[in-house]
Amino acid sequence: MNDYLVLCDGAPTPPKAGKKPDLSLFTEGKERNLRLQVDGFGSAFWKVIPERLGDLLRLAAFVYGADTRISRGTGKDAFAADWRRSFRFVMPVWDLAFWKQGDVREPLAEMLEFLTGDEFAFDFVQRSPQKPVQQFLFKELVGKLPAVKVVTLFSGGVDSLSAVLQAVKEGRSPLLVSHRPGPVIDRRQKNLVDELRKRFSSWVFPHVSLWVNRHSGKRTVEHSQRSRSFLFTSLGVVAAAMLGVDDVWLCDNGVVTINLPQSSENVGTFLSRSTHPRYLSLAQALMRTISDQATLTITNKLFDKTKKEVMEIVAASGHPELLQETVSCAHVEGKTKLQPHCGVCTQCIDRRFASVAAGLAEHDMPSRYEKDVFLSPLKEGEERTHAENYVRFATKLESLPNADKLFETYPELFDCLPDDGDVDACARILFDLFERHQKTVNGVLEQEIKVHSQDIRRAALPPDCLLRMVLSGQHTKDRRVGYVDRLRSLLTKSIPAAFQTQTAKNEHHVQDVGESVFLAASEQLQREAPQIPFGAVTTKPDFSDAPKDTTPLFIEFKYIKNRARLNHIQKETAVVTLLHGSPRAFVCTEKVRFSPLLSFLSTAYAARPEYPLPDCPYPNPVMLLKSPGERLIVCDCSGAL
Amino acid sequence: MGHVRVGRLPKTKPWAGLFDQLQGGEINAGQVAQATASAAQQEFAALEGDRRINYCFWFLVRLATAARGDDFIGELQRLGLSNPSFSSGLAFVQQIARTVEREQRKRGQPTIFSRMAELSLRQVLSTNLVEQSNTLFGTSQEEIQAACRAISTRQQFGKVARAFFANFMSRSIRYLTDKELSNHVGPDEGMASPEQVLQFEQTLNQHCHETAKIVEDFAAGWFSKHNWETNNDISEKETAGFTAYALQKIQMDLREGVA
Repeated sequence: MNDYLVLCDGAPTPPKAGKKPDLSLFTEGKERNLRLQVDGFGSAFWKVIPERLGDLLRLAAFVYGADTRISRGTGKDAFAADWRRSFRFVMPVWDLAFWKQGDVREPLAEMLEFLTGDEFAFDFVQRSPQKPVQQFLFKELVGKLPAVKVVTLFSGGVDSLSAVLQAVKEGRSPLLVSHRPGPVIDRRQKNLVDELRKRFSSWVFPHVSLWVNRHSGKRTVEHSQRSRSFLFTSLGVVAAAMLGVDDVWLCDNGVVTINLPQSSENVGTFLSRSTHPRYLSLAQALMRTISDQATLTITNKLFDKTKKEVMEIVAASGHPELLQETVSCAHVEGKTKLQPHCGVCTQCIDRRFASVAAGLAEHDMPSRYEKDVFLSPLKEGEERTHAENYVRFATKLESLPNADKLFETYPELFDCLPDDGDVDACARILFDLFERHQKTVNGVLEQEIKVHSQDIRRAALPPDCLLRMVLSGQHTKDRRVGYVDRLRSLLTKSIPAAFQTQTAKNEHHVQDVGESVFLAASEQLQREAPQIPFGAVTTKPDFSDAPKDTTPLFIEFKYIKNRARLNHIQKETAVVTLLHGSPRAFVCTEKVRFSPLLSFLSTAYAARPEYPLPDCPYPNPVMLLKSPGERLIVCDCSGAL
Repeated sequence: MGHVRVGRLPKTKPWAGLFDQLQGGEINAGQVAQATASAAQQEFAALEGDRRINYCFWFLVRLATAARGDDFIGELQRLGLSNPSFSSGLAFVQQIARTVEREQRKRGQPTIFSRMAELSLRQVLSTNLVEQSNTLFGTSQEEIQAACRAISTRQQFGKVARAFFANFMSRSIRYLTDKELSNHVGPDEGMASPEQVLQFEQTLNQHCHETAKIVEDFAAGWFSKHNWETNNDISEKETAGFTAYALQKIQMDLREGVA
């Protein structure tokens, strides 16, 4: 375990600490190394923040300061031994009696642990009244400013802009609150607020922001910044308390909010949880206690929206050009005004897909990205990983038919369900959200493939770009093969279960069960692949009857019982295929093992000469027949019986 | 997307075998699992004594035994579900997830592997309880208890235990291999497309499931014997030996390519 002792604003080392401090943070005095400063509304009136809320701001800043100055190890630390840190903060506060309470310290530590994955312990000591201390001041436009009804956290990205526009649309008169980690982001936020003021005369868009960054001393070594959301939340809550407002909006689109693992290497807080519903719930409970506002709510208004839908909110405001003023990129350093996006971090990839899907590419021009995620060569490492994982995730989501399957595949989702409330309704919302997300991503990929079809035909795209990555394998894969795979999956899952307690009486029995599996799934199959008509009939396969422009698929169930040599069955099938049909057919086999017995599945696949099939998609084909015939699946269930 | 930490495997000697497997023309799931389990042998071996992983398995044991008794709610409360709700299978698994997370904190520092054990438990419970407890007329305690009771037979418990350990080992292996797989996707690479990576993932899962076959037989016998000996009261301590053995055996078989 990596234990770190952090002393704040000159607090003494605890007598039983047993070690020297690892980090000392100062927000004041000669040794000041952490800038913490509130800039206000540009008005005539100043108001001092109450002591406890001042303590909260300092606490959030110290946590953020330590978070960014102590490393979690590098990406080469395969087992993430250094990822989790154990912090012990010694921190002076004004309202010592309050902060020392167990029901303040414990929820605080629990919330921070969920948010960051680190362990937190706090030793609060009395802040000396003699010592000079910076007062936090909010300026208020009393008399000029209409009543603010909601405090909206404002990062300068698309999601927070959309939340602001949503608030204005609902007549909620938002106060915009920002964290300013550096001058570049500060300029962007101010610029976006100016643009809002120019375009919307119905509201003045008051904006307050908090400087928290390194003033001097040890440089930022850790860029994961998992605690930044706590800093953000704290500033929002303090602003709300100052104005007597109950609603704080901390908004991100639903897919980012949940941040499901796109790859198995993403575990726990490797994925940020800045607006995760569980974090918001823990933060709300704690902040109600700290601010003495029992009705304070911290809400993510975009929880059920995809990034595309968030962009559509901006477009619906009548000013889609505002998108151009927002920046989503995770990398700030080294970016120019003309190209503020790297194009290959997770945020940029999601933004690019969303703007294409929403038909807003003219307001989010590819030229503003350093790399075009679809067409540029992607470097080995993070670039390739993020892009491939993003596409793979959408492909995987496509195969999940309902909420139960989604939760089974991504058990992380259980963390998102409310402790009190309708769990099943929330599960359905989440399923709908991710279904829309996958449709967006997969739709954009299909669209981009069409747009660049000429380059694809000419092989003019770089081999390591995303489109080539997606296409390789796809051009050799017939859609019908996917359909066969789907049917195969249905059978291999259902038939063993159907014969768990009762063995099959004869081949008819197996066929009846097989038919019932297809009948039960027919509606779903037609929904999934409407271009392939589906019907379950019991008939002798006679391929010669099939209309010329169709490729019927016949499925035959063979019950082998005690026949040990499965090759005979394959031969029978092959003969049937030879007897009827056209000159090209594949007969492939694949072993599928059911527990506890071995089962065997054989797939025969054929096509008409005018619609030639690509190479056989299955491993280890046992025979390739130049034969007439149509597609045929032979499913032998004897092993499972 | 939010911020995501991605990692790389060190290009050191222990991992050379895995890199060799990924460089090849066709990537074989069994061989990749073998190379990964060998490279991570030391770290995987340390999991055998992990109290948090054992707790997840013990919870599964106790949930099965709880459903067999007359006092299902009382047993759940003793497990930490203070006021269990039976409104749906999802709601029930959610409460278990929250309870396990809370109880795990008392059992040492969390690691990526203890999180994977938590997720494996959730996944196994989702597979076995959620659909099974849904009826046309909603869900009640009876349906939940019946679904839990269904995993408490000797044979079914063996299957569930196998699924838990197979899922856990598959996650552990994929956690490592996924750090590199994306670099081998595309034309002229081992994986032609992201879709093939998903197929590989399924094959790897299946391979781990096959490898965990021994756990099924052993768990069934162990559960039956200990449950009888302790009168439905298998302790966490008694489970520790089984957990260690199960992990040790699967890891050994993965390293030796037995499936």
